[in-house]
Amino acid sequence: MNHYLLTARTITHAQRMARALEHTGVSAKIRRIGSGVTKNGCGYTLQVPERQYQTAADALRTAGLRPVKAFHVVNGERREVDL
Amino acid sequence: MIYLDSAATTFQKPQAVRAAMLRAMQTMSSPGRGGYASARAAEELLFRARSLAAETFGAPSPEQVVFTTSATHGLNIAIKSLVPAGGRAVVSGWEHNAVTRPLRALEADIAVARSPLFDTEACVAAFRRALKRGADAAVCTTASNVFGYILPIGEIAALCRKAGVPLIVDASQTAGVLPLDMASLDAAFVAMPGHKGLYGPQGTGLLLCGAEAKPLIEGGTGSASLSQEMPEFLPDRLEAGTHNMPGIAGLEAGMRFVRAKTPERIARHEQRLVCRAANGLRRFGGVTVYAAEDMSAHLGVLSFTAEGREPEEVAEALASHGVAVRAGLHCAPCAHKSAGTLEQGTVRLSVSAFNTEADIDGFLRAMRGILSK
Repeated sequence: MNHYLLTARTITHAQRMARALEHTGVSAKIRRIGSGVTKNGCGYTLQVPERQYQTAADALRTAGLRPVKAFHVVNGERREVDL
Repeated sequence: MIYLDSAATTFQKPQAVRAAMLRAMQTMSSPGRGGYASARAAEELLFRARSLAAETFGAPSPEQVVFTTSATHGLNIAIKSLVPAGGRAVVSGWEHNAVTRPLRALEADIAVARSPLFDTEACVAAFRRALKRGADAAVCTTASNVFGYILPIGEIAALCRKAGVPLIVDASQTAGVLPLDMASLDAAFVAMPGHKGLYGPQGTGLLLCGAEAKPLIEGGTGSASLSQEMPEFLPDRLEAGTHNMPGIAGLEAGMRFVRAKTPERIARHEQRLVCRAANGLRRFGGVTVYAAEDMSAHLGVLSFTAEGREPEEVAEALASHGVAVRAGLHCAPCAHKSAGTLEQGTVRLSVSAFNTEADIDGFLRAMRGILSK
């Protein structure tokens, strides 16, 4: 299924973003990711359904929580997008 | 046993603390190290505990809450982040060795803002004078671990702000008993133990970070693992190695216990008990009680001496009556010097939410027996 990945600095950062999204009805799943995405070793990301991406981006902006990077995953292909 | 040494560790813990620790051991592995259920359970608990601490102590975000092994650990991080080798620090006259020893190790120029016991105005004036020459940091306890003297931390924080000197707050004796708001103090760091007024187990502590912090130790964090430097961001920057999950679970349960009871009620209860002990001790001849005139300005900690008897001798005799107190210098020679009790120290009793009037009466009965011999 197509989705977005929002990468986090730390698990705590990912958890803060997930909590902020929960409050707006976005169901974001915290997943571990590797160097393929972070380019800097182990890390964490939030997986957000494609249809909820804009709501998620707005909610995080409102909460003052900025992901490190965002990727759009379409048919398993990952493409970095502007935040 | 009548346990009256809660300024060292609150020995009696809420049942919920023990249950949380056991649950953590049964269900939680290493946080930040895996995507499986037990790692996730550990991560969830860490976040809950961080968020609860941030809310309780006015830290701007959960990321600024760092888990430490003790207040001493946190104070070492804070002091070594702000004070360079040979730097200058201003401290109160009531500090613990957890503050003065790291400063001495840095060969810092330590300006002690010394003031008489229970004299708040003199304490503020001493800080004002000491800050005139500037400093890399000021370090101040919120209350003396020996005498229960509550320092005017709000006024001291305002003086530091005005002087542009970062403030490190040692909340070891008041966390869980007196209100503490990091943001309103504008503190660079606030360190506290988990095992005293927060009713967590030994081996736990919190450091609230409002300034750039330097790691005391380096190692794995489960993040940015390709880099050979510690991450720049909190809390990972200061949390190398696997977390003490049973300890943090207990600490979280302890904080919930305190919040449910409320620090205000706990403080009133402890002040009542200490007041009862002070009044009882004053009735015995030859006993000097170090208590504030206004007992509401006093924590649940009380020091005393008995004429012609070494404090350690009195504590040993109390132990033989089943009463646990602490005697000597209490790792705070600086405080004893300020109070004029450095030569032999004092006997200290300290209470918690679990003590009762019957405990104090039992202590006084034991003291009567000891003094009559």
